[in-house]
Amino acid sequence: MAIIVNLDVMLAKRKMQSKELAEQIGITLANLSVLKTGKARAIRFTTLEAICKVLDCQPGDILEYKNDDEL
Amino acid sequence: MKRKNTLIKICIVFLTIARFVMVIGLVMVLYFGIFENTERYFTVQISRENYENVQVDEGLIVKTEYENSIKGAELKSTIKNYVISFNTGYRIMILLALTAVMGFSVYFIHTLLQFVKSALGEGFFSVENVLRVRMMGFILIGLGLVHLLMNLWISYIAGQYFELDKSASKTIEVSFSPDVFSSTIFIGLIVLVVAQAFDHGLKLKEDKELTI
Repeated sequence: MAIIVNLDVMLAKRKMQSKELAEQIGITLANLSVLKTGKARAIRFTTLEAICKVLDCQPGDILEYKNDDEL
Repeated sequence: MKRKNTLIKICIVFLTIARFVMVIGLVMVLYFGIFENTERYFTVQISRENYENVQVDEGLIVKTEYENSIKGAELKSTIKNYVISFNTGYRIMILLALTAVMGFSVYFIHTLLQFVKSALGEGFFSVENVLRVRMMGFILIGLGLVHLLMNLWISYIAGQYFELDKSASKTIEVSFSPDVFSSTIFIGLIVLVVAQAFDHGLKLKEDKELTI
């Protein structure tokens, strides 16, 4: 998929664990895993807002677009 | 929820019994068809509906040119239908048709049972169920087609060997009954549409599950 989720990178920068993030934004660890592995089909604005708030970052820090041909 | 589960369990019990009875029926048909005395007759029922202008009090007579060739055939006039018994000539054809119809009916009941069973668990909207519903649609259409072909064949036989009793009075009867909902083919088509809707429901469910 052309949209890359860089959640791992942000989590490492903030030295935070997935479980902690999942608890703070109110989703299950399984759903966070779906998001991290790029299997998610869509992301709610509320979820994105909560992630940005907890990780103190911009949506662009988490999501990145790469042309499929370049991959 | 509890009431819904009870209903499903009752359905499962009925379908299990129906499947068992149909399997026994299929085995019996095969047994009697293959191992019974081949001199015995197979009986084909000809509905009066196959003759558009036969009245209840009218009779059918064997055409003079066939009188000798189907000497063994027995023509009985019952209240609604004529029962014609043929000897071994059509045996294999009838046996094959019966086996196919009963076999697919058993498979249909089995698929329906699996489908209903899945309603008890979590995986109701699954690829397996879409395939099951689609398969049931195709079986219904197939059974409808076999029924149609058998009716045409019986009409052909009836028309070939028998004719209206000339001494009986003839009237023209016009009937109009589209009869769409009782036709297996149309029910099969509706089931196929339901399968398509099920497929769409599955995609919606996946979308919902993968939206974080």
